[in-house]
Amino acid sequence: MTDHSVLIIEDRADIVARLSDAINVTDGLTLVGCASTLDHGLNLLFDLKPRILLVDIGLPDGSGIEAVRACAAADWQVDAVVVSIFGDEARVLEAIQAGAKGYLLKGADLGQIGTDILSVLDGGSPISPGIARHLLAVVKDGGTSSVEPGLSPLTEREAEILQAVARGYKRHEIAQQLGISAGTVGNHITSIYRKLEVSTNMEAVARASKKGFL
Amino acid sequence: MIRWSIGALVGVGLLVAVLLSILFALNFGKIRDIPGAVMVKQVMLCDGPACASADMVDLPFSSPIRFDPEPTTLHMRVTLEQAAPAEGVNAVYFPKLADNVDVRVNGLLLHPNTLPYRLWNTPLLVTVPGLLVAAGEVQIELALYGMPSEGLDLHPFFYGPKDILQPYEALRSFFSQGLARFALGLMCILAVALLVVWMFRRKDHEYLWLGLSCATAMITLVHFGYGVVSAEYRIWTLSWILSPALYTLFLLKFLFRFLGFASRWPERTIAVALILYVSLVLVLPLEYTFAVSMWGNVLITVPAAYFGLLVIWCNRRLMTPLDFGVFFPCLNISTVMGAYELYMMLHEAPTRTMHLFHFMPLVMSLAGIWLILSRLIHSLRDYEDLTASLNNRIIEKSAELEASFAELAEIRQREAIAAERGRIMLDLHDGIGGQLVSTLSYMRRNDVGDDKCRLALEDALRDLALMLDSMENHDSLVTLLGMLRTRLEGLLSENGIEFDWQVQGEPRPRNTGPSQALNLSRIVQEAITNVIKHAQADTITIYVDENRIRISDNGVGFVADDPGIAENPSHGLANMKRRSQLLGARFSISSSPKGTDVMLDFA
Repeated sequence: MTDHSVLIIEDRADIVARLSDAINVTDGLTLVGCASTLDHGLNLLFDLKPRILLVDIGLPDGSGIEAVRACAAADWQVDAVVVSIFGDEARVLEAIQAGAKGYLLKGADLGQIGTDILSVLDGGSPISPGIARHLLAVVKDGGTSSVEPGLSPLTEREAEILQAVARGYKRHEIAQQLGISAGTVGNHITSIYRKLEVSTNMEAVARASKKGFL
Repeated sequence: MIRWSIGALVGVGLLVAVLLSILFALNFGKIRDIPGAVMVKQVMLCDGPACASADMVDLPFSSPIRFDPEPTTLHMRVTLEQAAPAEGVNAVYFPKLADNVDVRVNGLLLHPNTLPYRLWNTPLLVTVPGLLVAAGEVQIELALYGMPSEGLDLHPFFYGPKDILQPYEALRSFFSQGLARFALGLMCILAVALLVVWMFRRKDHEYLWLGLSCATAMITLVHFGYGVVSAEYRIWTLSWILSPALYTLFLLKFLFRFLGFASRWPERTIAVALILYVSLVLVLPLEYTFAVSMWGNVLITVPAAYFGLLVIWCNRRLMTPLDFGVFFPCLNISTVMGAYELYMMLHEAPTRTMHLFHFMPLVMSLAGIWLILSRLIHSLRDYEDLTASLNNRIIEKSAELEASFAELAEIRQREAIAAERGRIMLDLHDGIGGQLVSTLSYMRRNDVGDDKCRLALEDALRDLALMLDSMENHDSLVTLLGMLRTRLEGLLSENGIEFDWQVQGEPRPRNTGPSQALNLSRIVQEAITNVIKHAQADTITIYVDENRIRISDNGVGFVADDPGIAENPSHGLANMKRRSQLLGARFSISSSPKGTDVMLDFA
């Protein structure tokens, strides 16, 4: 099995170093490059064609969201993962909308970072209660209004899972409550992410972000 | 669309007939005996001024109609016995004659005729000097002038003391020519007033037609009030006789405009008939002028008035009940007066002596003015209502506007606060947060600094996350607790503790908002931190429903003010209590060797 190549775009050197360490200690991942600006990062993305991109949103010369979009439009398989300090909803949601497969916390343990990256590769998108609540708000608004036809309504099960996540329950607990496997719960969450991603309606996201701040 | 029906045709006809009968029965101006005066009921009709031969005729006398263009004179005389010499001045009083007269008493001409002024609607009082009749016999000689085609009339007359006869003459004069002159003056004023109003309101043709009808009535009223032939006989006769027809035409036009009818055929029919008759009168010889004009009047005015009555009756729903109640009777009375007058004019020897037609314009024009005033009052009332309701709406809308302005201002302020909060959060996030993470990364990677330092930074990072979460999720406390769990999960597993998560429903504290959410986070965090530090537990149960939040553990419990504990937990407890009060929740804590329960009660 060949290692998955990883590219990092992050402007803080210490954090880059930390992420690099995490990747190096994780089996199955190889760091292929680092960039501290969006410009450089986009160049490296197309030169190196990595399997995974770890990208910070707040870069000195632009938003990491652009790199996420570039991944979504790339002609090779590449998963964008947003590197966030706190996993704050507004920006994570925007990234997901742009096509990010998930997010990971900068401050987490080395082992945790590696696991998070691998679980994204496996299709297990991370989700926090705050993000779940925002997803519910976005999709609910989109589902009941005809002005946003891009948003597919959630299935009953998906809404149920999002509600449980929003209340702080973990995947294995939800799986237990619903009598399904933790993997199935993960699949549902990934499906919810995809539903959000197919919608390119920025207005919905803007509103969701606003809601987060209000 | 003008509505009418056969039933109404008959009904209105019957009504007119009944009213006409009443008018005939009342017999206004009937010549009755005057106490103290002699009523002359018979005269000698002479063959000439010398009265070579004479026939005795009864009064009232009317000459047979004769179509002769030249005026004619009838000579009459009567001799009365005067028993006693007269005290004071005597007089001869003629209540009704036509058209003019020379009066001689005992051979002396006391009243020469006043031609071309005609006395057909004017009583005549001739004063007889006392000296002239001192002898016992009084001979009254009359020369009656008039057009044979119109007929010459002499009704019973009186001889007696002037004092007795004068009031009778005055009263009759008032009701005949006096009121005709009054009506003339009034019509003049109304015509001018209505036409002036129309000048300023050209679109309201009602004013024009009613004004013109008043002006037209003036021609007839001049004839009734002054008995004057003020132009060539034919033209004048044509004018005063056919002016009622023109009057009817204008009045119908007024009525149709008022009721909003678009049909023009009735007025056109009248106009064409009128032109035909005028042409006919102008063409025919002079002796037929009176008769043809009069018949023209009959044939135009009567049907037109009748038609007017019918239209009003059948379309009374277009008027208010009060307007109908005024206008319809007035038009009825006018029609009846017209018919009565036509009888008097056309009958060779009419049995009624008082002309009433000059009342017609008074009645009709006042009814017209009533309609206009009534509508004016209605529109004024509507206007007032409209103004009132507009004012109310303005007040209402102003209040709404004020409220929405206030709301807008509030929304703007809220938005400004939210934007500012967002900016601060981003600053905290990217600035301090980034710095903390960066520093921690550096320390971990290079293995520098001691644990205490690292733990403090980690605490600070967690605290920052707590603050950000509290602000972002203050409107859903279960999500906030969920975020807290996510943040603390790593710390708990490091200490070998697990959560038993039992979140049932959204708690409803009395006080809400980001600061209260932060208070709640800190209370829960403090409770959990206490468990980690002191309880030696392996499970923390978080139970949440609408009314409470409970944090319990399966540890060893604690003893308040235990000197063995370096950090004084009572300080932490006091903080938790204080924060609970701010949140509007009751705080309680109980501890036993089986564990500790921290409870926030919102009920």
